[in-house]
Amino acid sequence: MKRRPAKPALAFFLLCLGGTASAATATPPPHPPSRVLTSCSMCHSTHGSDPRFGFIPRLAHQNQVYIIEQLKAFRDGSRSDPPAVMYMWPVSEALNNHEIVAVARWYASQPAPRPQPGGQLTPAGKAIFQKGILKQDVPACMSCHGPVAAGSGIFPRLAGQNTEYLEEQLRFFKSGVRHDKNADIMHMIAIHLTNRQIRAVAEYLTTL
Amino acid sequence: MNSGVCPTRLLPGRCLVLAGVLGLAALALSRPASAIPSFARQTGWSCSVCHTIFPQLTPIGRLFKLEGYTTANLANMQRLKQKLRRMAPLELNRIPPVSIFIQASDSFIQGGEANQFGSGGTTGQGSVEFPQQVSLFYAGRVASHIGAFFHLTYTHTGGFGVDDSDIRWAAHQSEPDGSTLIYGIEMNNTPTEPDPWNSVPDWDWPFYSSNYSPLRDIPAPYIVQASGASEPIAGVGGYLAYLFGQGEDHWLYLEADLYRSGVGIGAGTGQVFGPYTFGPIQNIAPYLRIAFEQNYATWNWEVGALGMNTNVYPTSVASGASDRLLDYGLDSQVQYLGLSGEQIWTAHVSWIGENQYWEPVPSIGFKPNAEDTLETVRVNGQYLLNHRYGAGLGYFWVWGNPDLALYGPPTGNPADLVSATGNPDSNGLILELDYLDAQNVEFSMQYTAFNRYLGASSNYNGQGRNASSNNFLSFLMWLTF
Repeated sequence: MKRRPAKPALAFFLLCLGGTASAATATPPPHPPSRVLTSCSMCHSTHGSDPRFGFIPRLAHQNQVYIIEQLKAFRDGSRSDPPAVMYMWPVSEALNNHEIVAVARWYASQPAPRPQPGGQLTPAGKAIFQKGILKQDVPACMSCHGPVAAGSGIFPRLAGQNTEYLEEQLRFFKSGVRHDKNADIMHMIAIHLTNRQIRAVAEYLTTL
Repeated sequence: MNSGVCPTRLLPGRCLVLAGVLGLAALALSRPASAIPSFARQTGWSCSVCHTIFPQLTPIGRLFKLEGYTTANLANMQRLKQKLRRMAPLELNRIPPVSIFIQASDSFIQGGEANQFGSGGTTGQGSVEFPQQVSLFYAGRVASHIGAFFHLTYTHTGGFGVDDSDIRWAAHQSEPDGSTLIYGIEMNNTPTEPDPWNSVPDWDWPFYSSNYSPLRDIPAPYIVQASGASEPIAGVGGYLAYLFGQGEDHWLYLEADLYRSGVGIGAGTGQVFGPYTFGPIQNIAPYLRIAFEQNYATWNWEVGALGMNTNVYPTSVASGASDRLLDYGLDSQVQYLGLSGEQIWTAHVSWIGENQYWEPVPSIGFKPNAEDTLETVRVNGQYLLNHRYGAGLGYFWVWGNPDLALYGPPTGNPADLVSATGNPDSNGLILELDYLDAQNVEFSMQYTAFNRYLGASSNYNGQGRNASSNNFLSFLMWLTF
């Protein structure tokens, strides 16, 4: 179904307002839970900083609330972009709520991944992130994700994330392929971005 | 050289050529050209998560192997309660990790019938194999830290044998600095089988070839030949994989195994493999492997080295003098996976050399040179689009010093694949096209063009047969479920 481009301002404002200020968990678990060791680490690495492919996200220091929400979205099938279906549906199917919290708590407590080198489009991405593109109805990313892209609550941490992962996910938002619970707001934003602008934002965020 | 099994039509001097033949045949036997569905059932992942074109591994596939095939995403393990807590636990797969693999092929040889000493048969003008191979796999997790990749193979020569297999225990230790050490102990029946890269002999491209391809009659070093499918050898060893650096993007892999001859089942022909093979290993044959992989966001490259020192008895009698075969090699692999794996490129290069120190066996008239060398270089690349359309292109070179006792002499039969000069030098090109109707159903076409065969481009066997006479075209279908 083709989605109608919409002014994102109101929904965007309300969602941002609703964000909570939680980030990493306060008391890091001393040991990774068994699910991290036997399953998650295969792709995301044990500490979440070193995924095996560029399209796999870094989970280290990601918001606990966001990880929990996404794992539940994988499990109930509401997040259905191709990598989610291929990789995460089978994994999340076996997780109970307790394990989901344990996994989220572990990764949220890990040190933030180190910034990566950007690319030629990094300055353009920085401008979009900080100021948005008014004439394209694109708000500044930092309004929701924070000035250093640390995220908050359901808004994911984007700082230091893999460029390829961010680029692919923004394209999924743009095309509507990713349509989980809170994806509509990102769809309404990404639909106004060109592929080059998407790449620019992704390149910038990986440097934070 | 085993006079008890060598048919009279085979001269003793030809025997080690046959070993090469058998080795290549065994090598192909030992290549499970597919993802194993039982792995997919265990992980919930489709084949393409761990494989590019089968059986080539992605980094995730390599990790799955290093972790002992124990990753189990689906809740398919049934935990049976212990009577006492301190008793050993029991976890059984709800779905047994069993899979079946079937290959069928039709092939054509350009220059007409050729006698293959490896299989003891002839190629005919064309050969249909239905099946070319049937394998029964037990592949998957056995317990928390133990997994198996074990398969029995039925071959065109009849009978089942243990194809290349391993059983391994693995664990890992993650450090706060982000590095991870994976360590394991394994038993296997084929040198290089435990390896996670596809640039070593047991896993190198092409991933299949017809049993009737003259490619199998080209001499090969022992480490290429020594497969569980060809003779009952078994190795016990261990490995370490250290993942370190920013993003754990550096992988260092070390493996050591000790191989011995044992009593086992050779594929198709029982303990005696073909008309001639090497005898048992004298004492223990050590194998060493070191490799390094550098990972980037969408691609990775590997470089490695391997070595094996084997003393083998020249006959099936495990006594007296032995021949010494010292193998050494370098390999490298580059793999581009792209975003979501829509387009995948992989390239391999490998060089394997062998120093051979022979003991004559007067009782059967085997009088080779005291020392020989044999070397092989293989360069190949594969492309896969959307996990549906594939293409592969490769070139191989084999060379060494002439030895009529090993690679000749001419027999007077123009169909025989022997060298008139005792020269092993061969090279040629392999082209393959693949179509995957589903991830577990593949159709392939493979063409091998020989530029040089056993020492010459023309009249290599002294009976007017040219290298191009052995050009070989085959069509293959495989199914796995």
